[in-house]
Amino acid sequence: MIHRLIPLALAAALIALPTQAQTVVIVRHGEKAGPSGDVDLSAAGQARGEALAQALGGAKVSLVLATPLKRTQQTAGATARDAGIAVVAVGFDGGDAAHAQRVAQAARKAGRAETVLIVGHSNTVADIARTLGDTRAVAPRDCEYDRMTVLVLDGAATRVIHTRYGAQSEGCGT
Amino acid sequence: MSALSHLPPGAFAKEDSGDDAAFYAEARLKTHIDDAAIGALTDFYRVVLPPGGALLDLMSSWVSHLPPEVVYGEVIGHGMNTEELAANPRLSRGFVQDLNRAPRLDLADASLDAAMICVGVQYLQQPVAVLAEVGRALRPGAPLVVSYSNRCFPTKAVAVWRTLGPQGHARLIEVYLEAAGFTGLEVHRLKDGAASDPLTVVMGRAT
Repeated sequence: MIHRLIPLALAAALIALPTQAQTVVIVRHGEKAGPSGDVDLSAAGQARGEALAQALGGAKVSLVLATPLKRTQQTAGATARDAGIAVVAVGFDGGDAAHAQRVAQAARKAGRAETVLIVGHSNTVADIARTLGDTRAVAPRDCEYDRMTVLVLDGAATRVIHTRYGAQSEGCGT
Repeated sequence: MSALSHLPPGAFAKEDSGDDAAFYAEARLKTHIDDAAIGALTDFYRVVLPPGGALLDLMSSWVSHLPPEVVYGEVIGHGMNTEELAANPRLSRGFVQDLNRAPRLDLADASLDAAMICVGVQYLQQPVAVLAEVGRALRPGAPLVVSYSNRCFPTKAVAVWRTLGPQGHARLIEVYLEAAGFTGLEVHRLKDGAASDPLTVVMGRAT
């Protein structure tokens, strides 16, 4: 129920991987300040962005992908800041399926032994995860902001870890 | 539950009742038992775990001790630590879950061919609930292999575990397994602890 995994220090895992697998971390944006439109993150959402940066603090994050919307950019911002790189926005041209394909393609181009962070929306993260090999990906519920999917692209095999990070989502049960 | 119902209140309390997720958040990228004990466990797995089957490694870490030459259909890992599971090359997939807070497993009924709990059973505060969930996810007749040594984080082991010796630990696991609906219980002392870490397996079969 409570999954406070801070700090995750994913680097330890990467160092231990003999095959120098690539890691892709997929999350939805943090809590929003308003119900609709291109809204900013709320204070809780900003804290979640910082928790994400902390969780990935030990990993070699070489690429941070988000969408053109502020809430994904802001969620990704702290991780990108700590990694000294810019957030790359991937647009929605051609619809959600085309977006998922473009995000997955961009992620796959990152180097081995590197970590890619993808910040999406409740209606995109499952598609992206599925495209990258998470056959069981399901969309987060509306109230669910703490889910994290970690994909380890280890040669032909993909290992999928479903976990949580940051504060437990309020009023969202288990 | 009859045998367990005689246990005093607090039998499943831990000295350190802090949040387990926080305790396990630091990656503990190390084995908990020595190479000889691991070798004995791997040999046991080689005999009882069906090649090609779907396995659940409950309370797993960065290593599953499975025989390296055997291919399994799927190895699902559960743990408390994302990095450890991500670093475990034998896993097909994994999930992080605090079983002491949420014992229900998101696994389909009768979907697994075997399950393993390696040196972790002493941390379960709702052992029967968790093992019953494992039993539900196992096909009838499929084995659950519970192994233990004398290694543990003592402050995180439940009180009843701390009060017992090695023989008592085997009996306690048998009581758990019986209460959770397992049958055909077997105890195998794989390593007596003279020349290596001790290792005992208690195995039951799902009904």
